[in-house]
Amino acid sequence: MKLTTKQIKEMIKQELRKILKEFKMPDAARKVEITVQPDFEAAQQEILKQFAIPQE
Amino acid sequence: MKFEEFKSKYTPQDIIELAGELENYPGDVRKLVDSLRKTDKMPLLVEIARALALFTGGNVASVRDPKQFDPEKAKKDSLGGKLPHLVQLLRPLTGKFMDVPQTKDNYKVANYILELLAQSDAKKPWHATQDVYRGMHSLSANAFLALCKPGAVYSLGKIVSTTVDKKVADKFTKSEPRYRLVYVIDNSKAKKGIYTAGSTSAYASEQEVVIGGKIRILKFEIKPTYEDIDPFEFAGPYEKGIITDFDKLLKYVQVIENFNSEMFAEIGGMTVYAEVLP
Repeated sequence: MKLTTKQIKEMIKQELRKILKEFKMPDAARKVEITVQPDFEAAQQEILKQFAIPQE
Repeated sequence: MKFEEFKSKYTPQDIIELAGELENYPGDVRKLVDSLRKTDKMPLLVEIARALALFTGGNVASVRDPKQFDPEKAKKDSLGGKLPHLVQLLRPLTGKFMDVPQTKDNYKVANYILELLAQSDAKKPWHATQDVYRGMHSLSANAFLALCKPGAVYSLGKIVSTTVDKKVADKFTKSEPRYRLVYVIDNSKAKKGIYTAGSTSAYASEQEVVIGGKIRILKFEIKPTYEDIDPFEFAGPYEKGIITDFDKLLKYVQVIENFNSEMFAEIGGMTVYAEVLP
């Protein structure tokens, strides 16, 4: 089976995730700095802007 | 035809009825054109054909808002080889009405016709009253979240282009920056809009349904990929299945925002289900 570099990297990452989870090391994770929340005004503006364009 | 003349000559009902006849015509529209040849409906048919041709192949911005009409630009704007079949059928009878630069009145009439038809719940082809699709891309994280939030109601505007072919919406979002989503909009209750494909559209393959009004978000689904997220930076928890819960989506987007700066990352295909409100 031939694997691309991207696929190999992803497999390694998945294995690492399992190991980190097993050893309960979430503290190793970088601290979350950006918080997100729904912005309904921006969403409405995007609908009006993007729906005005044909889906060509 | 001047806009005021058009408005005084044809009622909204006249417009909706003839457009409906055209939209639902079972065979070759050539027969419909022939049957209307020497009737007073012919000028109205020409204006409906022009409205649909301008919206599907002309200056869409000017159809949506005729105030944006620019006479200099109109001289250059030409449908060229994209003339819908119906326009080509009408040419020998009415002259080359789409081959000349369009006027502001033409765009005002087109706007008037399409605003009426986009809101109309008159009879239309079956598949135009089922699910219609619309793609979006290049969204900010917070706008993306709001666009997926069940219960949210959004105004689409008065004239909006959707399609009955999901592939058209998928193609529209493909290879575009994150965040991307495809709306699946249920039109089975409201049954709004006008179906422009085949003989009336400059781009028949897009199978557009032009609708207007409001939609309500019902639910969403996304299979998270966690692509390009370094496990040493984010150790979990990872959602394995399809996310349908909004709080879980919020967490996933937060992870992406913090640990993936790749704007073209495949974060998973987002499908948002909504309904057209009557």
